[in-house]
Amino acid sequence: MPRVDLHLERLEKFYGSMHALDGFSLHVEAGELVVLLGPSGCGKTTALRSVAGLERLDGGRVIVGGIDITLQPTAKRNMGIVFQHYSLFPHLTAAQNIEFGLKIRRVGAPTRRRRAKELLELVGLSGLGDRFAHQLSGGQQQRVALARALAIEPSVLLLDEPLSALDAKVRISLREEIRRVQREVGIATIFVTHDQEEALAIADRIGVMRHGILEQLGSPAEIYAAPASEFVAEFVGKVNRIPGRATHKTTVESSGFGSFSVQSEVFVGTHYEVLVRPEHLGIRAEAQGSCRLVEMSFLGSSFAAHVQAPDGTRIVVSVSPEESVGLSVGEAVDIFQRGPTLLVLPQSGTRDPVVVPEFAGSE
Amino acid sequence: MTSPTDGLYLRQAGIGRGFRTLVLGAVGAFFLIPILASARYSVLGNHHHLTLSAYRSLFEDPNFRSSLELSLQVAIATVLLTGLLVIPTSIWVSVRIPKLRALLDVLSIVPLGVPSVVVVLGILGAYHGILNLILTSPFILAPIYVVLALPYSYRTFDTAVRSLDINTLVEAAQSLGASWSRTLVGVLLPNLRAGMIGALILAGAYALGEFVVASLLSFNTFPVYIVQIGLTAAAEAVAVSLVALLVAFVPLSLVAIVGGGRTKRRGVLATG
Repeated sequence: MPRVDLHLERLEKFYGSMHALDGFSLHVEAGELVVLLGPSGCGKTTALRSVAGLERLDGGRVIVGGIDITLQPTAKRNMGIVFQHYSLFPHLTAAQNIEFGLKIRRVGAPTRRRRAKELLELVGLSGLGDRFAHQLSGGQQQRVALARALAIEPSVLLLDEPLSALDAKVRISLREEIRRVQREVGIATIFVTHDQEEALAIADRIGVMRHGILEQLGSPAEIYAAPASEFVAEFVGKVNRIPGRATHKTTVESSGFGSFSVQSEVFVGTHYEVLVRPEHLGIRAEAQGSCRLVEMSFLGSSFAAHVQAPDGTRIVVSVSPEESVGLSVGEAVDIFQRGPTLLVLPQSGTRDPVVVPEFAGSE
Repeated sequence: MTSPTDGLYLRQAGIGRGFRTLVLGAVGAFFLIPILASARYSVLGNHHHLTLSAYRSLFEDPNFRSSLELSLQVAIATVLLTGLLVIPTSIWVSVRIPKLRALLDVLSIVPLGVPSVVVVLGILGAYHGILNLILTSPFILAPIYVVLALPYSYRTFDTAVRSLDINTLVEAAQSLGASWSRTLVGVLLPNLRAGMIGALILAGAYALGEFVVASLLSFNTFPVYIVQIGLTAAAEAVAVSLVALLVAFVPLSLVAIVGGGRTKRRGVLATG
C-alpha cells in the first residue's frame, strides 16, 4: 500500500453564516492515526468530509502525498471511508461489498475474490463473506465497511464516528480492532469522534476542535495532562473547578478545600478558579475537617467521593478501595492536593486563561 | 402446559380465524361476483343459450384491435417516460436538493385535485397553434399520463427512496470510485427495485385505464372504445371489459412474478 501523508492547509467552510472550518490546518504522517475530537458542531466531521471531497471547501488546500487534490471529485480521490451510519450495499453480500471498489477498478474476478477473502480475515470475519448486511450485527457490518474501504488500497483512511451506533462493549473491542488493522496496513488515518475515552484509547495524536479550529493538537497524554485551554480540560477527562484567592505567587487558597500550589505565577490578592483532576486530589477523615463527604459512588476500580465545602461548592475526589476504608458518608473530611493542577483561570469576566501552565514533564 | 389464559388465547384465535374467513369471503365475493356475472352474461346474453358471438364480433371489429394497440403503445410510452424522468428526478432531488422534496410532495398530488377537463383545456390552450403536429399524435397522451399518474407513481417510488439511507449509500459508492451512472445502476436501482416496479406498474395501469383525457382529445383508446361499444351492444361491452381485465391482469402479474421471484431468490441465497 502506498505510504503517503496528508496535509490540510487553512481549510475554510461556511454553512450560511456558520463558520464550520476557520482556517483549519493539520498534518497527518503516513501510518499515523489522528483523532479529531470535539462536541457536535465543532467542524470535525466537516473536516473529514472535505478531505473525502464530500463537502466543497470555501478555501484552503487538501494535499495527499504532495499532490493537491482539492478540486478532485470524491470518486477520483481514492479515499477509504467508514461512515457513522451503516453503509453496506444491502443487495450485495459482504464479499461483494468488499469487491465493489475493485470491480470499478476492473480488477479480475480471481484477484477480487482473493482480496475479499484476505480482508475478511484481516477484520476477523472469515467465512461470513456470503452474508448480507441484514444478517450481520452492527459491529460486523462496520468491520465489513472497514474491509471494503481498505480493499481499494486507499491513500488515506477516513473514519467518521464509525462506532457511535454500536453498544458499549462492541465499541471498545472494535476500536482496538480498528487500531490493530490500521497499524497493520500502515495508512494515514483520520478518526472523528465525540467520545474522549475513545480518542485517548486509540490516537497517535488527538486534535481537539472547537468552532472550526484546532484548539489543541497533541498526544493523548499531553492532551490529558496539559490541556491548553479550559475547553480542552473540560472536554477531555473529568475536572474539578475550585474557586479561591491567590495568597502567594504560586499558591491559591480556596474557601473550603485548603490551598493549592499551582504551576504558573498568579497575582496575589486576585480571585482564581483552579482546575484539578479528581485523581490529583486526596481525602482523609478528619473530625475537625471543614468539608463533608456527601456521597460515595463505586466505579469498579475506584470510588468517586463527592465532597462539599461549607460554601456549598462540590468537588469529586478519586479514592482507591484501600483509601476508602474509614471514610463514611456524612462525616467531616479534609482535602489535600497530590498532583499538579491543570489550569488557573481568573474567576470572573473572560473565561480564557491568562496564565498557561507549563508543567509538561513535571509529574 | 396450558393455563387458563392459554385457553382464552386459543378461543380468541379460533374466533379470529372464523372472522378472518368471513371477511375474506365477503371481500372475495364482492370482487368475484360481478366478474363471474359479467362472464356469464357475455356468453349467454339475451340468447338464453351458450354462444361466443359477442367475442367473435368483437375480434372481428377492426376498432377493437386498433384501440387496444393504441392503448398498449401509450401505456408503454408512459412507463418508459416515468422510468426515465420521474425515477431519476426523485433520486436526484433526495440526494442533491432535499429542500425541494417538500415542494415535489405537494406538486405530485396536484393532479388529484385538478379535474381532467381542466387539464385538457390547459393543454389545448398551451399548445394550440404551435404544436398542432404533436397534438394530433396520440403520443401526446403519454406525457400527460406521466403527470396525471404522479400521485401514484412518484409517491410509491418516493416511499422506497425514503426507506433507504440513500445519501450514505451514494457517498460510499462515490468514495469507492463509482461514477454517477455506476452509482445509480449498480447501487441505487437494485435496492429500489420493488418501489420502481410498483411505480411503473401504477403508471402503466393508469395509462391503460384513463378515459376522460383520451376521449376529450378524441383519441380512440381502449377505454374510449369500451364506452362506445357499451352504448350500442351490451354483450360485446361486457365481453370487452373482461378482455380488458385480462389485458391488465396478465402483464401486471408477470411483472409481479418476475420482480417477486428475484426477491425470493435473494432471500433463499441469504439464508443459505
